Amino acid sequence: MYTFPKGLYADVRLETTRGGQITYQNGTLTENRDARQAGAMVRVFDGTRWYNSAVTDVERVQEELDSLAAMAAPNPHILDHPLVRALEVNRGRHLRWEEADVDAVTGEEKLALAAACLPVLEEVPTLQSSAVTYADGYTVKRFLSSLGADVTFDTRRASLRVDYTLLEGAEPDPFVFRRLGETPGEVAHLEEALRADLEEARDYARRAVPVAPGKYPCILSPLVAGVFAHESFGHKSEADFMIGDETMKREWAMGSVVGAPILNIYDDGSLPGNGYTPFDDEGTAARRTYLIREGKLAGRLHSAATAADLGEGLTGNARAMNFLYPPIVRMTATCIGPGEESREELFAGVEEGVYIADFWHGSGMSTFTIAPSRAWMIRGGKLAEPVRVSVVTGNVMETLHLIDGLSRETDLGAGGCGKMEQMPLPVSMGGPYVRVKELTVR
Amino acid sequence: MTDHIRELYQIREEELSLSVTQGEITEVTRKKIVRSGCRVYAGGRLGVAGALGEPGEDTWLRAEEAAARPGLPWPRGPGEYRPRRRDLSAPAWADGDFLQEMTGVLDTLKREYPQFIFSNKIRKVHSETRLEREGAGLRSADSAVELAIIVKHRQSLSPFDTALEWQGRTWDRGAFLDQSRSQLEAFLRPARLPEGPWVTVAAEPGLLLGKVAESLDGEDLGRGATLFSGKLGEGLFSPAFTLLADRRGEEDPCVPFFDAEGTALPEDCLPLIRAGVLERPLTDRRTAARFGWEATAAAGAMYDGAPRLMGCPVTAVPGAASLAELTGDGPAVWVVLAAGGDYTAAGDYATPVQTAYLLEGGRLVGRLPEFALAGNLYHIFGEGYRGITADRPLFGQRALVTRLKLS
Repeated sequence: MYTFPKGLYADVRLETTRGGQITYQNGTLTENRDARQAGAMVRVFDGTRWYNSAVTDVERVQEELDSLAAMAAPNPHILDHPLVRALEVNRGRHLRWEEADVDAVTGEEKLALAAACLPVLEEVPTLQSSAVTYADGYTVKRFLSSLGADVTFDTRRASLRVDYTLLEGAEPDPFVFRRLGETPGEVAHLEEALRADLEEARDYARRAVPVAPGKYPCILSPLVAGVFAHESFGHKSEADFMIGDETMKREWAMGSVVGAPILNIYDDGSLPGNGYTPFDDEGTAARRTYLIREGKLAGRLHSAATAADLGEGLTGNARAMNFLYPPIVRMTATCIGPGEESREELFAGVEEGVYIADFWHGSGMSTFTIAPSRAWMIRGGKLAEPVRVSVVTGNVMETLHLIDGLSRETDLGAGGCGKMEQMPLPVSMGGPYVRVKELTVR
Repeated sequence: MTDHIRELYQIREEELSLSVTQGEITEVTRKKIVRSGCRVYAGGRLGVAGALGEPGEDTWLRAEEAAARPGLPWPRGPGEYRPRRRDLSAPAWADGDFLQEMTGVLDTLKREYPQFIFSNKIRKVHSETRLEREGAGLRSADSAVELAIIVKHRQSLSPFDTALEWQGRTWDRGAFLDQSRSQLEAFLRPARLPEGPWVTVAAEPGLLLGKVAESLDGEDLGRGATLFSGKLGEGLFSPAFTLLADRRGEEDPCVPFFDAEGTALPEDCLPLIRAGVLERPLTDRRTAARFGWEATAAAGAMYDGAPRLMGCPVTAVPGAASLAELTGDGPAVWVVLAAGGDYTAAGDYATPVQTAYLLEGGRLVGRLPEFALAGNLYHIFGEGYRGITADRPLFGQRALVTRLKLS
């Protein structure tokens, strides 16, 4: 298909995406977007430096390959370079949705799907504003390399998000209801779930009081536990932070005890959902990578460059937001493994603490943060009054040791991750209910 | 006005991006991207179709079809605008020269500070935004140089410790290196937190301004859904605090002088809060018409989407005092990185501070341990507000100075 330059490694990632977005703002249709785009990321590596180009005219890919090759220095030993030797050479078509008619749901039906939320919102007398947004997308990627890789795969996503503001007290309270799946059907007919969410939010807005700042035992919902795993440990497992860094290599030696013995965290791009990545953007197949197994460091996430630098195996985590960007090390679906207790048993173990049910955003470095959107006090093992919390924080390496309970019940949520200038990248996050002995709550 | 209008919304971006690993440029990525949105206003509806690259007649036909079917009602038609061009771009910088210059900067940092690891991104970008009917309309062009260098001490267990940043239309190697040296020297000198609980804090203005800008959303404000609802005309903040909707491009390069509907501001800026008094919210044309306010050029759009209220860059107006004068003789805190914090609905703010330095007399004295800050919106921009620096001590950017509580 392409003539790859000699003495260099090169790859081409062709992407076509179609999808759309519908928004009803305060009951009025303000967006009905039908998006279609195609483009390619072309990369050339000479053993020292990558030369990349993003192009929207896919007819010009060969021209770009030749142009980038002219910038690079041909290297007769390129095939012996550790990075190049690390790369997988996969071939074939892996189209999960090939048999499905991805256009079966019409634009009118998608409008109706979003509009079905409007009467539910109108039932709430304290509703001040709302925005209902339905979005979907279907992407086909084809990855080709000078090593002979030629793999085609697809991903599909759909979401329904309702942002709304209630005025139950002196100040307006913002809330969000969101569901993410792969097909429109997974986010359709959610009116009852939305109604229940509105009821809970009204109660929260009426009764929530500022939390007394301090250190508390906390229980995290599966969604928040997923964010916790993503922010607290997932980002630290991205091996690009370790390249050439002897201190980090020593500190992050495999087998080191990094958390409580009940703790398992893994990343798995083969799990259906928002983070589904059957092949990464270097053509590497997805697999389950344990980051922590029984409290001990068990693995980390790699691109070919980081795997070669650390002498470890590929994990399928070189991802780019779209064809405009080269891949960097990113998570896919990051989960905490289940425990053996029930949700009720976890709560029963907390005399006074905080339950974090949902969140606005999180971040993670040495200190991780979660900005809760809904939280309740736990008193005597039971949910008590709702509380307003700005931020929950903890030191990553201390907090993982403070996990003392995991539920059997698990759930997988979804979100968007930001790193460098690539944001938001679709990821999944999930796990059980997680009890932590102590977090700082403000 | 005719009942059938074709309008082109187009964004052209040319970028050279350098990835930095271990102080070396390991990746060079170039992009030349044209995003075209074809808009057709017909029969009280708007149809939009997008294309990457120049649009062909097929894209216009898709937009015509979208406008013809029941879909997006657009009774107000397109915005009115007089043709205008503004080009703030710095002279073009050849890719090879840029690569050589940045290699030199990194070499200097590595040579002078071998105890640190430098990584992340450097880029130069040129952008042009157009909104045109029949080939005439609005064009806004600009360029920027951006460095976002993550710094990690070789002995540190944190993924990164501090950051060296530059964002500007022009590049000043000397100023960047001077400020980098000042910060890295301070990093090597551990310092103690000032006595609390209240401390004077200097930070990049966006760290604290987000809630103010969010609360100025005209649609939400008009519907009683923000902190500022029902407070137009009231004095809410310090007389020293004036906030502009700002499309001048002085603080943020690559901001077009018009919004996605073609609305521009008089002299490209307009006060939203003047001397602490809430004067007007952010609006697009629809919101302005609904509530009887003026349009403040706050419509945004995906290139292939419909324009709607998304916000506008805001700038807090600087005063006459420098950082040294605003922070006074006593110790103060310069926040470099405070990730993950937020305001509650009531305006209470709390954040961990991952990287900060002790300031004395406007100079960096030493690196502070991690701590947390808290405050309330009305205090941060009210009694506690000291102002925006007249000088640009943050890698070419001004700093906001206020009082916050250590926690």
